[in-house]
Amino acid sequence: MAILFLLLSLSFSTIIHQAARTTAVTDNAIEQSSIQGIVSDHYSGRPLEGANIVLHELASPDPDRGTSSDRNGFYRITNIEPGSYELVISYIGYITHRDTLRLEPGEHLQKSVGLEPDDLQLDELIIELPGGAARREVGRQRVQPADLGRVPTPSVSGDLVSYLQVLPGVVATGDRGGQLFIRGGTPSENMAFVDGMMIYQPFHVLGFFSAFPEDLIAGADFYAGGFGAKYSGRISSVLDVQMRDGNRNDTEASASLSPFLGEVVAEGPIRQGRSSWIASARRSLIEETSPSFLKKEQPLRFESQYVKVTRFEEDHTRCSATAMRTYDRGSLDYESDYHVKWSNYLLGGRCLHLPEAMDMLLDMNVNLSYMSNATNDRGMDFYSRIMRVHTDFNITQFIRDIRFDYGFFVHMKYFNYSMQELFHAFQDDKSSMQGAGTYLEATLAPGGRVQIHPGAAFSIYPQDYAPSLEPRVRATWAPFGRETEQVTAAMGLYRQSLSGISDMRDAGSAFVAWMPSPEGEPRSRAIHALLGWQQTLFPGLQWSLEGYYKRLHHLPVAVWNTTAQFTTELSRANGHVYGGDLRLEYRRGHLYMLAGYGYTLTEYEASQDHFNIWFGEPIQRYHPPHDRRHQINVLSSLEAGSFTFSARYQYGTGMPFTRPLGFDAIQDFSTTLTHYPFGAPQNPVVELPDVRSLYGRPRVIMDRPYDGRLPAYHRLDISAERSFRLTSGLLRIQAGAVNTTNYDNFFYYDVYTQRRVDQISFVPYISMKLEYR
Amino acid sequence: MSGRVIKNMLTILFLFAVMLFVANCEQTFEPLKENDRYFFSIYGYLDATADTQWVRVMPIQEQLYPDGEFPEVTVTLEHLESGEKAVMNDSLFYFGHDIYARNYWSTMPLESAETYRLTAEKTDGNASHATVTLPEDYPAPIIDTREVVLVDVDDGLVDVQSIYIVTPQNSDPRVVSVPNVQSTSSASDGGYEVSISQGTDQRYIDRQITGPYSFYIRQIYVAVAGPDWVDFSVIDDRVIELPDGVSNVNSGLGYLAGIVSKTVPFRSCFDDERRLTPCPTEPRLRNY
Repeated sequence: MAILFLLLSLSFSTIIHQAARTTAVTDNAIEQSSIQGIVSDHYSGRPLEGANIVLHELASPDPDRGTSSDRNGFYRITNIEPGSYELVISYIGYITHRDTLRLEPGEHLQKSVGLEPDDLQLDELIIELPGGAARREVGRQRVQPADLGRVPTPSVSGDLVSYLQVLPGVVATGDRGGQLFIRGGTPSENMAFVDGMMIYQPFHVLGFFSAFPEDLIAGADFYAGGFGAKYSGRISSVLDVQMRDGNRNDTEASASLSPFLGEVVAEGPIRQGRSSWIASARRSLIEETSPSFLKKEQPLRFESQYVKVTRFEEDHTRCSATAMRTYDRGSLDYESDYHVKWSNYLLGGRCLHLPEAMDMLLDMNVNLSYMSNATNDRGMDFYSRIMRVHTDFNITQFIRDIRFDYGFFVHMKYFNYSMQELFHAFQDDKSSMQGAGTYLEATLAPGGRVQIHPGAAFSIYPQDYAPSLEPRVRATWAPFGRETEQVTAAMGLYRQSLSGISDMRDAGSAFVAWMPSPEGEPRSRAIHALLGWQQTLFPGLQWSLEGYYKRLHHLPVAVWNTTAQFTTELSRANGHVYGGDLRLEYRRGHLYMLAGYGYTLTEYEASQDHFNIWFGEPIQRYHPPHDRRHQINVLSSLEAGSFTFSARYQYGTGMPFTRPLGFDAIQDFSTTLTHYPFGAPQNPVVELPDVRSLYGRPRVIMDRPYDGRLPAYHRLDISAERSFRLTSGLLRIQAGAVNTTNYDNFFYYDVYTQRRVDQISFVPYISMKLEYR
Repeated sequence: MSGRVIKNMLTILFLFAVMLFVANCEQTFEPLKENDRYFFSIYGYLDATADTQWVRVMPIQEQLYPDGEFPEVTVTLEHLESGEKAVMNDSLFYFGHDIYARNYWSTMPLESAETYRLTAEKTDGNASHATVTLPEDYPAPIIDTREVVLVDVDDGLVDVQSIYIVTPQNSDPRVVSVPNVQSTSSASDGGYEVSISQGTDQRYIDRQITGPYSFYIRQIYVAVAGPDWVDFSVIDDRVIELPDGVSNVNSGLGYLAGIVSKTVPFRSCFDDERRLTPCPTEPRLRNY
């Protein structure tokens, strides 16, 4: 199968390459040329996305030709008349590069440039970088490290997960558990990558932190929906994180300490200017510090280790090898014995190559992802493990002015899970799944005002499912011819072959059992449709509005029954999600403000055999427990001299939960001893229950699912930071508070014990970070 | 700090203050839905041959495992034909893990083929009741020489157990009851035949007893249910679990069965003419 896909993709490549050659021949016939290259930071080698590349023909009144670099820093300008040109490459915060070129007829020039940072502009750089929370590029939101630093986090550096929770449409069930629900999608429907490696649970058990701290990431692409053909295998969202390369010129290190976290980062050159390393180790401290400074133990622990080695080539391409480990363990309900733990292990290599002889950019990945996940609940143990061995090739190539992004992947997944479920039979299984796929996306810009990205993903799992073709299209339209005013739209079909089963009847459960979708059943499927408007009102102030609709099919949901506690018995639900995000962002000078409002309505429709008896109708419609209907987020950051002040306010309406009528214990007239967890008699009576020796089976007397709502959630976090310049570095001291108003936010309500579990109350903190340079 | 910075800070503070004022309203939270449908959970069976009737009667709880604090409840057993009533006595049972339940008992004599109503009532007048008709009486079972139990009833046999005395090594003897209703077949001349296989039963005992033990079969217990018996074996487990899935309790949950049980020694008895005959019934052995 892998060979089949290799052949298929090579055919793809051959066709496009042949078309490109034919085009080149045609171009040659009319003696046209092209120029391509990679724009990067001269000092660090980091590719610069969004750099402006302008080709000005000397001694000609013709308008300039221009483009901008992509995420890999790659640019290409085609159909250039032979002649003399000035090439101007600029990027905010860098010294503009100017070069005079002479393009011969038919010449295809490769020109990669490393821009020198401009110290005079550096102060403005953070605030003026392109992008922003209110700016999305056909569904993609580019997140910069500086964005993370604005969110008050109980550590000096910011974190990606704290930032994501500022965005409308992103819902966290609370400040622990590491579960994000994005526009109605569940955590197992989200896809996350680190340098091309899939990570199954990237968020730490304490909700402020993830495997992506500000210090380590180079940037992230976040798609809340409507993602392109490159990404297949999930139906809700994509988080594609690029990690920073180590400093290839100088050795640097930093150490930070807060009551929540301790972290060390070190980096430096292996071979001066040619290769680098970066390593990081983080460990939570809240378990140790909470008894003294919170007066209440917080049994949450996480840690992560990360190392990356990069080799830079003279043509500005690079290869890297990355390894990462994360570990989380905690009791989400501090007063119970129940705990959950998970680990991620990632190992991979990535090469970005711009071959001299070929007019294409190659991005190659080989990696291994492993996740284990275990929990215990009232003496029952569950675990789930998944391993994915993956390779993919991604190619960017132009035919005339049309950009093609295409590639293929092959992977193997291994599953191993064991569920010892209350009242039901012990289940365990090992299985594997082979998959392969390919994708193609074109970028067309007819007329200049419209940019369309049609594409399709094709995947096959020969032993498990029928082949899947998933057409997708994304588009932008600048009706007034200005980039600052754009209509954006996206639509596509998405399928997911993996089922991440969690018992969503219990919001306190962070355990996810990964397994293939049941044999013979269709994969989960979603159709996304997005339509938005974004506009810059005046320099620094921009706003956007995006509406979305998702139609969902065959979602795995826990069966609705009266049995108390976790179940892996599955039913299928269809559903829909619709909503809208409104964002207003101000970025000017030293002030940053982001205000967002999100509306999301998620409704599932499930049918089970006995619903007719239970409810009098065969189908139940309900809002699942992550259906947070309204959400308001406000984030502000102000720099004043050596001080930085930040504040973040979050408000969310209450999430659904099931209000039981009460509880009893059912006596069984027909089954066996193993169904009785308590009071099992020494001499089992199995047909007629003896009430003197049997307690019975606990039952929740439930009516319709999720018919109650928890109270609204709101939280204000603040921080103030001061920097001190030292002889050989920088000392940053931050003071702040989590939940400043000390509001009692529900984490979840345990309907079985009538006990509420709250999120963190008011927590003041002081943290410090020492940076050595 | 410049005036502009101060102005910006004041603007931010004002915006946050407005938001906190708007949002910081306490909200009520009602974890349980108002329950005016089910008042009690009633489980068990009435047995015409038992000296004492035991029934589980529990008010619908507000938490999964009751803590032993129960409201005042009056449970009455009424013979519908005569109107005779008996107030049942309560008894608190502990099942470990801080779990309690309340059972009610009465020594009121019950007659086969008669109808009884059990009523549980709270002090506020909310009540649940279950009405059940006991089956006709029937002859005690016969154990033939092939170790086959013959039960002379047309239908309604719901329980057959072989009762063993098991003596684990270094431990006191105990009673183990092995279900055998699955070994039942219809006899050619009417009634039921139940084949007792002590080898099969031993595998069941193996699962209950750790280590070596000796055992011998001591009694056979059979139970026949009344006309309103529900055949649970053909009903989906999930339906049984539903509040109204299988229940004969009005304004409540649960199931109350009516049976006539017989316990006989595990041996063949013969009359004067050497014909098989029912052995005299005897009290069922239990571990209590």
